[in-house]
Amino acid sequence: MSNPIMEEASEVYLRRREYVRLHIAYLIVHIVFAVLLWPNRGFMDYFRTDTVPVAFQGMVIIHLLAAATISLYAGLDRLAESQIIKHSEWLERTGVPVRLLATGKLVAAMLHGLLLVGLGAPSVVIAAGPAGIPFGAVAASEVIVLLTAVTCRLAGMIISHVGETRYFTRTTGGWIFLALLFVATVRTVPALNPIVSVIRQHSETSPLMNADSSVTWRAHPLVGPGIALSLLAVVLASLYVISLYQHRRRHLREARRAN
Amino acid sequence: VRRAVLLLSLIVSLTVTAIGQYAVRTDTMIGFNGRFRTDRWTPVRVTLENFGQDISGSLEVSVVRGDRFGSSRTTIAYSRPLDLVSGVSKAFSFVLPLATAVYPIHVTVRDGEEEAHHEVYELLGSAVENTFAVVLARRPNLDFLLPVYNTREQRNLDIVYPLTSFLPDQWYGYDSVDVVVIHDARIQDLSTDQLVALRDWVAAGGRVVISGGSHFGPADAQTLSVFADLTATSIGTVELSQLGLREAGFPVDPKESDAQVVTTVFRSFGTKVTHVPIGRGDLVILPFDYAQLVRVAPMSSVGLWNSLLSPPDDGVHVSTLTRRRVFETEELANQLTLPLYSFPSRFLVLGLLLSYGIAVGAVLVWMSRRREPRTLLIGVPIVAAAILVTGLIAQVNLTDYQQPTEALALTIETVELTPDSVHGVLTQDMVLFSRQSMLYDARFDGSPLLVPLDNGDQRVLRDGSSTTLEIGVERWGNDNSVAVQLVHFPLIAHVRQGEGFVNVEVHNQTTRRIANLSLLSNGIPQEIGDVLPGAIAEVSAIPVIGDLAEVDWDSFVPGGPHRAHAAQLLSDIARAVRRDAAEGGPTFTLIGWLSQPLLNATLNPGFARDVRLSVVVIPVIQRSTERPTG
Repeated sequence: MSNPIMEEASEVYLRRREYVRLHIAYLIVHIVFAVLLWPNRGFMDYFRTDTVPVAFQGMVIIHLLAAATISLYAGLDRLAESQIIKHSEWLERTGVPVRLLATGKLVAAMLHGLLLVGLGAPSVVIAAGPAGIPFGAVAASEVIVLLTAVTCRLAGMIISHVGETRYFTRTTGGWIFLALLFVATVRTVPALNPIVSVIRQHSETSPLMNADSSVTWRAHPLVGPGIALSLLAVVLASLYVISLYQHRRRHLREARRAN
Repeated sequence: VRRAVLLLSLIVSLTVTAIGQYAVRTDTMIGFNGRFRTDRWTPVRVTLENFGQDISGSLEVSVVRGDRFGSSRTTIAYSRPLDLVSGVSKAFSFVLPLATAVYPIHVTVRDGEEEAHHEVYELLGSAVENTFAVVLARRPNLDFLLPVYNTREQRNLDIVYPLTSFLPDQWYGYDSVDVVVIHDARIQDLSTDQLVALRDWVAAGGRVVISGGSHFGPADAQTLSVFADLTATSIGTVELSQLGLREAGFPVDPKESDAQVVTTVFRSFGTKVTHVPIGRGDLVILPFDYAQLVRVAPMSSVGLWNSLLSPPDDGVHVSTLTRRRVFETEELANQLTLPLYSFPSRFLVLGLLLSYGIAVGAVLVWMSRRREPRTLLIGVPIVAAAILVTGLIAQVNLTDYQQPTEALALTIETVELTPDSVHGVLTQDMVLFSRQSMLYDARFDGSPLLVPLDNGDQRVLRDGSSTTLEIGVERWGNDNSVAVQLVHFPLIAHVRQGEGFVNVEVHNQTTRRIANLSLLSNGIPQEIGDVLPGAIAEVSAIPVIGDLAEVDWDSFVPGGPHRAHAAQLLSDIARAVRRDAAEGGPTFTLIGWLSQPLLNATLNPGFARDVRLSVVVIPVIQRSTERPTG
């Protein structure tokens, strides 16, 4: 692997015992909830009472929250901390170009996000069966989960970088971001709220749920939340890259002054 | 003054047209004179008058109904193409399912995509709660019943006197009505469609009361000939006791029995009160003028109307079918509570997910322990493959191909109004099931279908003695017509019921062999055997209370790969029948299996496969299911 950042990421996320345990625990959570949420009653009971099994809705929310939390946690470098090379070490003690560092970190974030989404996807697909959710709606929900995971990861990386020496910032910053994303946006910016977005995608009025309707890209329920979350991710990624450049400049300035 | 108004209208119209503005006036009549019943099909008539520029677009009527999945609501728009030239007035009729009176109806006129006019009609306070009578009469002569039925606190009867032109031309437009009374009205103004709609509604279980008297003329008889021969020969005076009210089941006050009543003498019915069964409903002919009767015999008059407005209780007449909703019908709803149609087992899901979890977990652990770079190159694709394979198995095995979608059960009765007019009454017990994504869209729970079997407008396919018909089916909450093929299925059961026993004689006049026909007597099956086309099978049974657990269900179903499923289906129906028996006395149900599918129906493009009828369930009710000859 030519990129040392990717090398480090593969070593940490795929080989470190802490992360392997975390991924297995993540899998177990999905399996347990998929089985627990599986409908107890017969199909006709739901049919008669005009209700739909909560299996999919519950499962996709669990999937979303678990992926977002793990991404944020990984972004904050809270797990296997001693094995992870800190931003200051990359920027101050190695000659790795900032562009390489930023690219490596961002690509690693996306690949790890994909891994998390992929690991949980089979449980979500299984839960879609009894709820009668078409595959298109499942796929749209998974896109939201991926965007949320990447966004949380980027937020975690910024907090981790900015608050590298401030323990309090690193611990509370992540929770504040999660609260902002999942709670504060419910009424203010629903398009940014991942839970609202996935529920809307498979609601009665969603065109994804009606095979009769052809969905234009403008009316697609993925477009609004997708753009909103992508914009947030782009803003966070830009802030992250800028913060890395500033860090390197500050370090060079201080080094020159010391010489 | 009229000229001035006309001139002013013209000027306004020309001015508005000249400056290119929309000026549309809408007049909307909901239900019958504004009265309707919620959760029923309701006629809506929209009259548009255009004072502005020409409009070419659509008329849209939007109604709100509850969400199928939860408490939120859905707006359904019913639209018609519209071409409305300036200065022209047009009327449009809809028959819409009104699920609730809480939300208003929205009427929108669009010119292309642009909204030209929008109006909101509140429904609150206009819904009928109890008996609803529609009276076609010039004067409100039946209003004397209102103080009898209604109090300040409770409204038990609503009577409306609509103009004949506002009556629906679709039979299910009368869904909310309990009885239609025809008395001294301009019925000659009714169109053929309106008359046929009224007749079909009766055939589906409605009730029409025709009142004669001195006003009743040859033109009325001619118009009402779609119901019966009502030719009047003369007018006479008859004592109340001689009208045959008691014989017809109506009360007569002894003190009023000698009251003189002016009657029409009908060629077919004389001066007797007569019930004429039509399909599942009935026509009641009163040879007298009820407005005159109430003056000479008020007590008997109130008693008569009390009987006419009450649901029939003799078991012969079935109350309007449209009161039922498909999934409230016990047997068919219960048929679907089957392993065949249930969700896959939780253990199956656990097994699949555990296999996946163990495989992926093992690969993750293996990658963490082996430090060589190639472990990643091998492990990551294996994890991706496990995700894909599990997702694919879940989608294909648990959703797409879980069970056959071709299960459908329905109860059909054929009704012969006249030798030339055969109707199939699909009593709405039509259940479609699919594990496809359109699963929940399969339902339609509105009205029964009354299908004219020999209507030139429909596509009729004849194959030997069977008739296949393609019809448009209106569905609750969806204005899209869907195609259903209804096969004329003359399986006729003669039922004679005595003290504690029942004799059932089954005539198979279909072109298909009915395999393993059996009679469920309080849920316990009794074998009748195969019934070949054209054959007659007979069985006598007594209502027995046996133990359903001891029944060998396999012996009552045909063999083949789906035998276990069929046996499960039969036992489930039996359980439902047993429940009915516990609540309402002994029941008998015929169950037969068709040698080949009866019905190929493409109901919705969302269904990947055609739906086929493979089971026929015939609830044996006390009356014969033979076609009435009257």
